[in-house]
This record gives sequence, structure tokens and C-alpha cells, in this order.
Amino acid sequence: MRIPVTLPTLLAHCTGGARDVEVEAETLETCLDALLRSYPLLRPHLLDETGNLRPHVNVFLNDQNARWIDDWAAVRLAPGDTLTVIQAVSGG
Amino acid sequence: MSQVLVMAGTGKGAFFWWSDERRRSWRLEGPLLKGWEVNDLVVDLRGGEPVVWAAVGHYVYGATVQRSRDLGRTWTQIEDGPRYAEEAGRKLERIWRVQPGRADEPDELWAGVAEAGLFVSRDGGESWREVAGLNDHPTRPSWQPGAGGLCCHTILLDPADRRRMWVAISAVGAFRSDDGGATWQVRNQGLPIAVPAEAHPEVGSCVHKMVVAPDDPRRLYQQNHQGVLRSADAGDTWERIEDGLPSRFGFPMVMHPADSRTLYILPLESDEYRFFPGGAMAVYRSRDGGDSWQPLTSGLPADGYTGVLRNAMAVDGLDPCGVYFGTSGGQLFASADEGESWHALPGLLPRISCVSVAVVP
Repeated sequence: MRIPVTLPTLLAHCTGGARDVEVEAETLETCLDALLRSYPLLRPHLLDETGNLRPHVNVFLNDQNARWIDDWAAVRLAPGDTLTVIQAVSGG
Repeated sequence: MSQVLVMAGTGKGAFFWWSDERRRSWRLEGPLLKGWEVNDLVVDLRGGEPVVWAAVGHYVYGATVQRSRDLGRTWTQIEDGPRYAEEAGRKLERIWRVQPGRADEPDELWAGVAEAGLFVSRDGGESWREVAGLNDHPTRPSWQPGAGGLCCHTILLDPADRRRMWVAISAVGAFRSDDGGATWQVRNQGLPIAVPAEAHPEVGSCVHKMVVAPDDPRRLYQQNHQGVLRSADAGDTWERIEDGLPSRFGFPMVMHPADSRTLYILPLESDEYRFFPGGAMAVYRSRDGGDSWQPLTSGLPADGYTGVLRNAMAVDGLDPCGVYFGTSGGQLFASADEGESWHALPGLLPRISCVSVAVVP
């Protein structure tokens, strides 16, 4: 199914200028894979050298922070689900 | 008439100033690459049409190389840019330098990065690979970061000898390769060593910037954390050249493009304070290869409590030579007469991390 993905403005150059894109995916894992396959320029910005999410990059599935989900392959997506990539911020 | 383009990279984007060769009035353009840290900018004229290379980064989103073929209006991120392999166990924290290869090697580019390392592209910047001879150097276990991290910030190519090149790594020292980058030798003899490592006491010298004389590449000069030094033997040995300087400490060093005995530096008040001594902003110039230094202050503020970072000074190669530096307070100062007089360019910017200049046909 088509899953809408929203990206930070700073990374819009990786998608040809779009902050909102869609990818075809059935699970949370394949959703991120499809995003990076469709827009390979995003890879070094979202993942570090070990393939893990960069420390201050958060990926939200709806309102749930995917960082705290252990098995992304086990999370089946449903119509209406959205993915949001967002920079972690703190006060100051 | 050619256009003079001065480029400054800041913590929040790049800013360009344009002028004609008289360099009296300037038009400010920017921010370009808005929101990104821009750590190096260089105009590459080897292919005929100007290409601008930018070392771009962000504390959240990491470091990449971007390229502009229209003098900064649009940018393209290099997909297969410098990146450590997972098994290297190192992180690409920042790209400090993008250095085009020699004039007759238009497809070659080099990149110096932190964690300290060197990358090379031989296909015009489309793909990059690690230079293992440096990155896995036998002394690497003794490389310890300083306040600026562990960064490879200077890459120098011998214009005549294709096999010879140098790099400088902060808190580690100077290295030379005599085989095109395959193997590297530490070249720190005579340099101050901050804290000698037990296993490799030859490393641990904090080079801040290094330049080579294009007409006699045996002559090297450097601004070190602990002094100003020169070499007459391609880096084999170094001697101090500090007569007339108010401080040994500073970051940038540039060489007059047409007179390799003329050097410019910006002494700062010790590593504890890192601003101009007593606030008196001054460029120091040597006309005799470092035997003596004279201050140049005309037009510079006497209350300049700011500093200048290692990549934030440049020369334009015109006659008379233009000299430019950007401060960590966000101002760009320019001289169109070899440093005799100075004026501020328009704009008050974020902290300036790099300054570069090109004469564009």
C-alpha cells in the first residue's frame, strides 16, 4: 500500500524538493527500505556508518517513535498510516 | 572583465560576494545551502566551466559533498560521497576540505575529513574511496583528538611531482606521501609535540594550517597550535619563524600566489582566549619567507574581540593581490592591495568557518 512520508525541509533536496512523498510498503522495515531506495540521497542523512538511525533523527509511525520498536519487520502497516522523519530537539 | 567571487561558509549556510576586478563594491548573495554548516567551498576551473564544491554538514544529518554547476544557484548532493565503511569503526563527523587535483588531472579530487582521514575521487567527484595508506597509518592508535577534534584539514599537492603530496591533521601532525598517496611518512621533526605518545612519540603536533610554495615545493610553512614554522626540505625538518609576532598562536595561513615568500597569518591571543591580542585586529605579513613579520591594521577595528578559524582566509591571485578573512563573529574583511588597507564587506553573518575566492571568467 502507499504510505505517505513527511521529511524535514532541510532534506528536501534529497527528494527533488518535496517534503511529502509516498512509498509502497507493507511493513515498517520495508517502508524505510523503500524510502531509501527511492531517494538514495537520504541514506547518509538518516543512517550512520553502521546502518543505524543517526542519534538525533527520529522516525515516527503515526504518533509512535519507531526508535523504541524492536522489530520493524513485524510491524504491519495499515491504510491511513503515515511516517514522519523529524529531528530530535531539546529545550535551550 | 572577470568577476571576483568571495565565498564564505558559515554554520547556517554559504554567502557569496561578487565584484569586478577593482574589488571596490560588493554584492552579497545568500544564504545558499541554507541551514547547513558549510565547512569548505572551492571553485574548480579545471574543466573549463566553473564547478563549485561544498563540504556540507549538520550535527543531526551528517556530512556530504555538494556540487553546483551554476555558481551556487542550484546544488546537487554527491550520492556516493566520502563515507567510512562500517568495518572501519570510524564516523564521518565532518568534511573539512575538498581539494581539486592538479590542473592536468581534472577528474581527481581529494577530501580531508574528521574523524581524521583522507578520501579520493578519480571520476570527477562522482564516487570516493578511502586512502587506506593514511587512514590506517601505523601511528593511528596514537592519534588523540584536540579541541578541534581529529581532522584532516589541509591537503597539498606538489605541482611538479605527481607522486608527492602532504596532508596535515590537527593534534597529529604533517604527513608526506612520495608515491601518490599509497604510503605516508610522518614529517614532524622540529615541530612542537603537545603530548608525545608512548608508542609513537613522533606524532602529536597540532598543525593548524600548512602551505607549500608552488615555485619551490621543498618550502613549506605552517601555523601550528604552538608556533609558526617553515621547512626547506619538503617537511623533513622544521624551524621556527616567529620574529615580530605578538603571539605564536593562530589558525589560518595563506601564501601570495605570485610571490611564495609572502605569507599572511592572523595571530590570536593564546589558545585560552582565541581572539586578537588585546582586541587589536591585525593581519601579519612576511615578505621574506618568515624571517620577519609586520602588522597590517589599516581599516581593521581596534576592538576586534573575535577570532578567525583555520579555513577562513584566502587570496585571489590578482595584481595587486586581494586578501580576505572571515571572523567567528561573522564579518568578512577584504584588502585589494596586498593587505595594506582593509574594509568590511556587507553583511553580518553566522560564525564563518571558511573563506575561498575565485576569479571567474
